[in-house]
Amino acid sequence: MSIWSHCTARRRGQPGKTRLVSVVVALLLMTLSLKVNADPLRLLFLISKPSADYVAVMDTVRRGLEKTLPGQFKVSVEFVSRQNDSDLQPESNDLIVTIGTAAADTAYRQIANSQDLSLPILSVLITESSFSALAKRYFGSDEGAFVRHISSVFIDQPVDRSIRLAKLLLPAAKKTSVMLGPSSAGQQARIAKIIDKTGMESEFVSIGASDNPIHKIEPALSRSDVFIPVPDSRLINLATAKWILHLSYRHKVPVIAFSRTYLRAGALAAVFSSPDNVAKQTLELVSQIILSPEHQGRAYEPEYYSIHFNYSVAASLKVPLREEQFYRQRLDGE
Amino acid sequence: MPFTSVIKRVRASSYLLHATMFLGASMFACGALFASDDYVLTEEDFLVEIPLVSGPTHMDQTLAQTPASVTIIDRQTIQASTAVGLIDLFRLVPGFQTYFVDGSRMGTTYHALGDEYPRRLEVKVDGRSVYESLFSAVEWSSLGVTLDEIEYIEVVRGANAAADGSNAFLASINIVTRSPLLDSGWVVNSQLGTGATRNASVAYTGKLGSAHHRTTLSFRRNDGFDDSSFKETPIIVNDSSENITANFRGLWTPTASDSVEFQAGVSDSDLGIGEREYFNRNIFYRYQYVNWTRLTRGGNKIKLALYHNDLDITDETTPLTLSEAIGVPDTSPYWPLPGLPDKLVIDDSNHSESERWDLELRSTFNPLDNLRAVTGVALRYDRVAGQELFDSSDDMTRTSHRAYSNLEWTATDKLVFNAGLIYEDNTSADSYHSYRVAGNYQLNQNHIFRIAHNRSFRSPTLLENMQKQVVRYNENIILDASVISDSDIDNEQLRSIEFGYVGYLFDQSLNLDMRIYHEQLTDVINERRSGYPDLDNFVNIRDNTDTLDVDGFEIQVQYKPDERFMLRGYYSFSDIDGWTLYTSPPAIEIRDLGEYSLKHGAGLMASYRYDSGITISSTANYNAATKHFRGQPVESHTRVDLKAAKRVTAGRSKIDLSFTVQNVGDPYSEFYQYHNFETQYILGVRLSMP
Repeated sequence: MSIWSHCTARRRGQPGKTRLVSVVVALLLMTLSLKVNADPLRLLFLISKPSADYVAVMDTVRRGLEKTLPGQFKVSVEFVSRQNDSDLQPESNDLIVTIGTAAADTAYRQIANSQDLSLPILSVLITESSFSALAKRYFGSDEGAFVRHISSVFIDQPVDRSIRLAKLLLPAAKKTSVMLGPSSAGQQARIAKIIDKTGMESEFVSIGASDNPIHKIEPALSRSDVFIPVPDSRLINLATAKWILHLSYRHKVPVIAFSRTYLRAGALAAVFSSPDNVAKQTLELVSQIILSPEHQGRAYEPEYYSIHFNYSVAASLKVPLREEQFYRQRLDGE
Repeated sequence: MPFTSVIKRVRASSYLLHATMFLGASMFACGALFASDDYVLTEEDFLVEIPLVSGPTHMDQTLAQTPASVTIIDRQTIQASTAVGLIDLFRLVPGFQTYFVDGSRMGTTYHALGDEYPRRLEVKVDGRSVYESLFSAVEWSSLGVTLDEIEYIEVVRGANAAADGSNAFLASINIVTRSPLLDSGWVVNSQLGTGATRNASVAYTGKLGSAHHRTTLSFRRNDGFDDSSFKETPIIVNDSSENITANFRGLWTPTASDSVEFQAGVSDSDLGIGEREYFNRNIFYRYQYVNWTRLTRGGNKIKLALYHNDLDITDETTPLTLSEAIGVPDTSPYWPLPGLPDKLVIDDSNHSESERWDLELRSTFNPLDNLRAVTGVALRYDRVAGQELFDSSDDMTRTSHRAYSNLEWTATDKLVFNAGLIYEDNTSADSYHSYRVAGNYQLNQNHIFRIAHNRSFRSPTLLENMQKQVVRYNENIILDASVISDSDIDNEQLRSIEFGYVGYLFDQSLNLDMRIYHEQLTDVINERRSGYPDLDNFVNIRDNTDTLDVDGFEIQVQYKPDERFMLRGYYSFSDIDGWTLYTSPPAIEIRDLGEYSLKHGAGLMASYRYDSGITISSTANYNAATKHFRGQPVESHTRVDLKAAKRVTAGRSKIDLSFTVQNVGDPYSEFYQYHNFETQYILGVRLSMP
């Protein structure tokens, strides 16, 4: 069982209201406990690079902490792209939040090099596969990372949401085609089951670096009612996106995408983790991790998600769209 | 063999080799956290921009990141517009002056010097430059690109030499045609209208083996302007035009990393052109284009593009003997060549040729996490020939090289810097560096401010460099010299600074673009009058004669609250303060160029689609009074166009019917006062059968 499915099971056992109550209680307890301890907690944001999405996550979390727990954190910010490893002093912090894979890599390396060092790390804006690769590199396994109090929030939205959204948007759809690449090929059986549950037939297209993408995508896309590309390596994403969208236009088959830019480029809808979504979950976890060791050393699936629609494409494909809330309620309700 | 010499030049150019080595090295410079054989996704696989639009730096940029103002005319705008021909679309771009020199010759320029062959705009079709050395301009009538083939047009307003090279001196235009993946089956288009407008095209999109292609055959004809008069003298305006074009565009994607595009086309045009007196010009135009693009695992891109343009021009002129030309028989005591007989001095046709090969290697990569770069090297071979233009039967050739780099540095989440540098040299002018630096400050997601500085050079074209237009009696006697290029003609120079703003309002349904600029043009190539030992003792010397300061501002608004309604508008103000050396020493005469400003220009286009499938559109354009450069003064005018269109669906086939009225209201003058644009009615039918 992957970390993903493991944690999915754990998190799904915690209904939304209960979770909200636990967060509020945690914040209250934290406020009380922090009032006893006069020194503010030292929180380091270690960020891969000063790009908008990365900085937006940090800004939102920092503002959230100032609002909910004013004066309780002494926040510092470091960019991996601007400094040497030796400049980092992880031991002088109470919690490190890494934003991006490069930041996680830097923090894990430091922790791995110092066996005595023990402080919680929360990695956000990181994919499941990046986390696993880094955990294996520095700690031998995911469990090895968890033992060192490392937690992560994955950016990958479960494909389930895209599939269920596809069925909600296109109730008459009978067949879904899914594009997989080398990184995502292992998900085929699981995805097939999810599609089967929606009452649709599934067809899979596997694209490797040496495949002719149009030659492989077009037959499957043209035979389906909706097309879902599963995020893969950057090469596969970039190499196929343009052709998928062009073929989607030609065959009038809507695409459910995984990023805002994919959506802008011509997909019908997209389900993705926005910086706000990531920041919201990070804010909740920061207080939980500080207060309760049981929240440390875990992998969390993305709790929040964004759904966006491309209204031009919907009009062109004659797909009637309802308010976003309609779809969100049904996705959350299932 | 032109390409043999091209290859030799490459071998001889050490700087190009160094640049190529840098380019190659840069491909592998991007660090990676994971080994190349690990199938590991990073957050950037989710956050990465999916590229569809290439910006003014050849990088995929959002408007918030670009170092220049950009106008994008997308397909929705093109379909909703009242345009009948390609050139009409540029009436939607702020700062552009678009006009018909005559019924078959179009011109468009940005801010300044829009003569009958406006020459300071780079125009590309899918990245292939269509700027012709022979005209020092774009021959719009022979491009053969139909409106239906265009996906979008990107107009970089302001010098773009740092990315596009010398010809992008004032602005650059890239016309992007539709991918053959977007359509299937047959599309038949037809337009009938006043002025004997007869336009038609047939396109087929399908597969050839594992490649997708679109093949288009198109035909255009019209009678041009009606007969007119000038200073009470009637003018028979013979400016009809007829063009037939065949285009082929293919796409092949052998692997996920590689894509190959190939294009070829041929067009044949008969154009009636002239100024009060008209003659027929035949243009036979061919091109071939291939580009190979490879994506690397890290998302970097390398592109190799090769194209060839070939233009043959034949002007059918009225043959003239010397006695007919000067109105003096050879028996007269005033005969200028005593002892020599009368003879034919102007033939019944002039033939000229223009050819270009261009090879470019370009790499797009991320040297650092917050630094993106585009680097390229290219070489170009130009050849022109024409006895009448060059007073020689020899080919005039030029090999030029360029190496460029454009960088985009995201310093903070609010601050983006762009820097571009291009080095160009050629065999007939001094080498030079053009550069651009720009900083964009993003106040928040919806408000972006920009400051940019440009230093650009424009090399004289082969025509400007080597023109020698004379009428000879024999090898030793020149009867009349009309234009001769100065032997020391130099590069034109531009310095400009601009402040720009891009805003997104009302939930991003309204896009606002503003630009305030100062442009200083020096050593601008024009013609000065000089004495010459011929029959009229006078010649125009093509030389660096003009200096101009252009100040102005532009506002562009696009409002799209929903899928039914679209509004585009602009206002531009431009003021030229400049002078030209009109007459050479000793009788020096300096003339003011201020009268050539198009001080006020404005445009408004609105379109609304009803539930019934009917779309109505209107376009209004206002141009203040101005004087066309090398043309005539024209009064201020407002032109209003209207269009109604309806789509009918029959099974999988679609029929689009349209009725367009261009210039509802009184005629107005274009370029020459006697070329009056009357109301035009055009009925269009488009049938698509997938």
